[in-house]
Amino acid sequence: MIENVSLAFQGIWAHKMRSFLTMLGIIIGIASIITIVSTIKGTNEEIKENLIGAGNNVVNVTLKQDNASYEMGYNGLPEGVSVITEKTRKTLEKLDGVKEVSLYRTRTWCDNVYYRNVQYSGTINGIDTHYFSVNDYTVDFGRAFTDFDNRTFHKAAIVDSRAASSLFGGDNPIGKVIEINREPFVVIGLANKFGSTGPTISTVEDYMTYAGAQSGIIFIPIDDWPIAYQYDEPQTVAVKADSTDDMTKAGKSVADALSTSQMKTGSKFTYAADDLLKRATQMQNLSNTTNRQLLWIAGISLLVGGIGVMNIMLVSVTERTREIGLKKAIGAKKKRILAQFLTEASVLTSLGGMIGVGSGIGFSKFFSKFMGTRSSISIPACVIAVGFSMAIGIIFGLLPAVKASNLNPIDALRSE
Amino acid sequence: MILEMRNINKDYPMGKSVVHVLKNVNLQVNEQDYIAIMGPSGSGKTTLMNLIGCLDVPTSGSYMLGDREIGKCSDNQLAEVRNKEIGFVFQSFHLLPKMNALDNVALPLLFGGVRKKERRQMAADALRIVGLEDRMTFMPDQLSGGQCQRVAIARAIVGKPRLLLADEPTGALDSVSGSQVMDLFRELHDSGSTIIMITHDSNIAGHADIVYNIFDGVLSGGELKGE
Ligand SMILES: Nc1ncnc2c1ncn2[C@@H]1O[C@H](COP(=O)(O)OP(=O)(O)OP(=O)(O)O)[C@@H](O)[C@H]1O
Ligand SMILES: [Mg+2]
Repeated sequence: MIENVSLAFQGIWAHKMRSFLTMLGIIIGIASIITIVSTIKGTNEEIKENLIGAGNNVVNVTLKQDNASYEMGYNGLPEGVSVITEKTRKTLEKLDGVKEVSLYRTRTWCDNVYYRNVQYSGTINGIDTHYFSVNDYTVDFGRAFTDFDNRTFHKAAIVDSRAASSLFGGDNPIGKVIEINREPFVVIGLANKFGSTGPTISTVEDYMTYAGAQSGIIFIPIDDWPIAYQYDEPQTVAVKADSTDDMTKAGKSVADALSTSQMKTGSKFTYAADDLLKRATQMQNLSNTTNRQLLWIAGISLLVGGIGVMNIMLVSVTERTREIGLKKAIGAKKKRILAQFLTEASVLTSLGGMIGVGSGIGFSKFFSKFMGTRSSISIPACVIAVGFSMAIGIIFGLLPAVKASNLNPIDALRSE
Repeated sequence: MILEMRNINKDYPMGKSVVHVLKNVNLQVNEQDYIAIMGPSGSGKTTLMNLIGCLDVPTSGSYMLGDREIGKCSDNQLAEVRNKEIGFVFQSFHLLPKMNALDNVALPLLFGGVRKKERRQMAADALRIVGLEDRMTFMPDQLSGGQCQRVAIARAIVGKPRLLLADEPTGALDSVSGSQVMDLFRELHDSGSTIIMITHDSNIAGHADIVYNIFDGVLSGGELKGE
């Protein structure tokens, strides 16, 4: 076998030009497949990252009424739905795929916030002590909230850079007193989300969230929420999953757990997770279908390549009739001749496949650099591509190989 | 007895009719015989040799090689017989051009499943017997005609076959290298080989101990020389 392979390589090397031209169809086919597959994979990753946020892995679980969103910010908790307690929060954190859980209350557009006579319009979040770590915030100045702030109803606030600049201009925000619904809050810290990339806006909700975040966020302790707003507003549950792939599972199990623990069965209220992953998949599918059609075209080029290989192998069998005849005369069995030609064909196409994979990687790098499309090389795709081209060699080499192995040694020896 | 042919006929279909190439051939070969089969062109010499060499099967008649009935063998069995029992020397050498002398000689061993190290050893020994130990790594196109034929003889004897078959072994050689080949055959015969040689040249046939004549597909003669 190894002998056959090395002989096949010698044969290919002896006819460099011819071998290369024979492989060209395979090379082009495989290269385009690798380029397309890398682009598909790159685009998919891009969609997923944009929509979900790279490495953030947070799913929000919110209260729904009849499966539609419940207007949280302007209503108290509906009847029959209880407040999520710290104890419940802890049990949620034990669920499979869940890393950390934060409870918060939010209001996206509020304009009853003032610093002296500067009005702020943006988001206000009432947060627990887990919120920053779940949502990847870092405190740049001052400090974060502690349990003590919550317990004592300390009227403290933390602002992000945008809120700070709209309220205080360039001044140091720490120690400033702002008014939220006529209640004074002392600013104790400045916090920002790190590693945030521009989100993809695909729905109106996305736009609202994005625009809200654009104008800044003010955080207050969640227990202060009733001071500024109503008592028992529903909480949003931010679930940080162990990994991106766990997001759907983690979101669902938290939502299910809350739907059973917070309300009676059969209630028209439920908790449900924003299935970002599902939305990402839908968008990915859209971009995949267009690219799949390209794959068919690349497949046709592989077919043409295979036929080219068959053609050259048939020529080679004819050219080597004497060699085959001699080998059979001195005792080579059919199987051996068959194996020899099959090996030659598949070594030829595998080599073509490898060159194709190499140039495919090159092409996709080139495209992503000069055309701005993102590409990501898939190792399994490369391995499959080489395996596939080997299979092409075996399939299209079969006819020539059978022809060779069936040569009659007498006739074959006589041909001069 | 190494082989026995009885009432062998070989027909080739030619369109609607058939050509009777061999007619009731009877041939017996004993251990250590040195036989020449002589006949004019078209008389059926090559056809007979193909039958003896198990490259082809007779249309009728029985051919026993050792204790094997060749007419009943499968393709694979025939290949094995050719590999193990018979060494071929062809008029036009039939060396593989892309292999050096040693690899050419070792080829039958490769097909016989001999391991590489042993193969090289045996091939080197065979080349030594034909006097080409200093040409092992030469490619066929770097060797003279006579040397090529000696490589081919080395390839024929490397597996220590029971029977050495040669079809016009000197046909492509000048008289000097022709007689070298004949000397080599004599040596091989003296050291115990059984040889059947086919030729149209009575001088060459004269080197053998037993001479058969074939004419128009009919085999005759077969007496020991000097009797
Ligand atoms: N495959 C075949 N089909 C039809 N006829 C054939 C075939 N092979 C050989 N013959 C015929 O059989 C006869 C003997 O041929 P063969 O090759 O045995 O002759 P030969 O004695 O070896 O001649 P030469 O000395 O020229 O090599 C010829 O008449 C030839 O035409
Ligand atoms: Mg002949």
